[in-house]
Amino acid sequence: MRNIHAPILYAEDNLMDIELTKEAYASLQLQNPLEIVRDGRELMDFLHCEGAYADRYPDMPILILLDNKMPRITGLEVLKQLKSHPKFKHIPVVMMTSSSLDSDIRRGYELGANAYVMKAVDFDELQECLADILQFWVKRNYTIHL
Amino acid sequence: MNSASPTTSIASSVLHKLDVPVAYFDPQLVCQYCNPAYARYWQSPTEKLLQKPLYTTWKAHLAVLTPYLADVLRGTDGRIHLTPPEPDALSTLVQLIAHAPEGRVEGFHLVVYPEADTPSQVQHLKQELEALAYSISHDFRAPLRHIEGFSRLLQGKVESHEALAQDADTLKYLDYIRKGATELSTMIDALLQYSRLGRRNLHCTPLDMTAIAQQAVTDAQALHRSRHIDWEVEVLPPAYGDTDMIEYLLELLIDNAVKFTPADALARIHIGSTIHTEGKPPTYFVRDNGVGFDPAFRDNLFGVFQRLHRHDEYPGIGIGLAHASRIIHRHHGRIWADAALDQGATFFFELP
Repeated sequence: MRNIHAPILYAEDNLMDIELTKEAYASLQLQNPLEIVRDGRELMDFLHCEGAYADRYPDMPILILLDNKMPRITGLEVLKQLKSHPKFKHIPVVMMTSSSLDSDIRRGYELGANAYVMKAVDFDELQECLADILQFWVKRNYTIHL
Repeated sequence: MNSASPTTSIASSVLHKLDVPVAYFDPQLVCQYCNPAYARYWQSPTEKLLQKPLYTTWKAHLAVLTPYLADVLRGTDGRIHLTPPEPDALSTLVQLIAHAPEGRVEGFHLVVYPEADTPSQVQHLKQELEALAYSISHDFRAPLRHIEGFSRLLQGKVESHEALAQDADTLKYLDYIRKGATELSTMIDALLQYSRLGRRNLHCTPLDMTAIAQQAVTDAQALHRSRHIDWEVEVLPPAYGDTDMIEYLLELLIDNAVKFTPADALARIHIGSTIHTEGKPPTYFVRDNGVGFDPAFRDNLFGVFQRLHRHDEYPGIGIGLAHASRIIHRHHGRIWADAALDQGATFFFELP
């Protein structure tokens, strides 16, 4: 019961990163829509179908890509909220960090992150990385729908 | 400690006022004298230290100290670097000086050289450095990613643009922008790694240097299958140090040797050691028959981002030997190199 309409939710505050990721995503030709939220609050609004997302089709995302570093509520804080929420804790969360030497990685796993990837500086590598993530988490992995 | 001799009375009054902690122990390791600085060091009144056995005050470091205590009671002085287990404390140098007026050891002085600032200052500096490293790793990388990524996208546009695609310079410039961004990113990583080597805690244990060298060679062989390298690894004397760091040191020196030996001919890399008279640590070396370097620039070898060869001849950013040197300095050891242009290079190091 793979849902090709289920969105992939990408939480990222940086506009240029969003654009690069959208470009990389477009080249992969997946059917699932890539939805962008700009911070933790928007992400929660999206999941709860509230605020700007009150009228969206209430599909649960198949995957959440979460930037480690966001203004106000950090990525880790959002992760904690997600993983302690009975309705959302099963959604796979792939954390995106700028540095493989990040000291937050340990904390991220403790909070229940499903994977950590580094945002590569090389665009081709970034694209490859995104392809790998989606190949596994969207095409191979099974999740449950509560 | 009292005597009529004027030198002795001068010595004891200096000792008393000295800011360096000094204590005197008898052959049973019982404290017979300590100066006020020693009492301050232990944050304990003098009376509580006098007549107490050494192992009660120094119990946290006993494993490291014991062999040196045996030596000093036989008349051999010693210098020991103590690395405290807790991350914020700094290492301490302890000097043991045998007192043997007529050839027979009557006791020994123990001198403590704390190696720096108070823990709170250090803590503060470490936090600042950690914040800086974090900022560099994240904040510097995002704009780099954007330079690289959008140049790549622009490249795609140019390639599919009829007129622009004919202009070789346009594509070349875009390629240079991307290469620059990627290189800067590599440099940031290297600098972060350099800073980590300076900050991470040392876990020193006895090291089987032969096994470490052999493992490093096996790894290098796997990495450079296409190369013809004649390896020679001698049986090496053991050392004392941080396993991970010394393994990394060997890896760095071997990488360096592999890189600067010709890829199209037989390379020879020899790992060995020289054992000196007692009291001096052995000298280990990694020798190659590669391009060597001009000895006039030997001081630049170990600097961060210093290169002695052109970038297009040998790739890399010039950080490997800087890492090696930092590892050695963390161990209070010595590293140096010897070479002549086109006659190979030898890198030497010692661990105390």
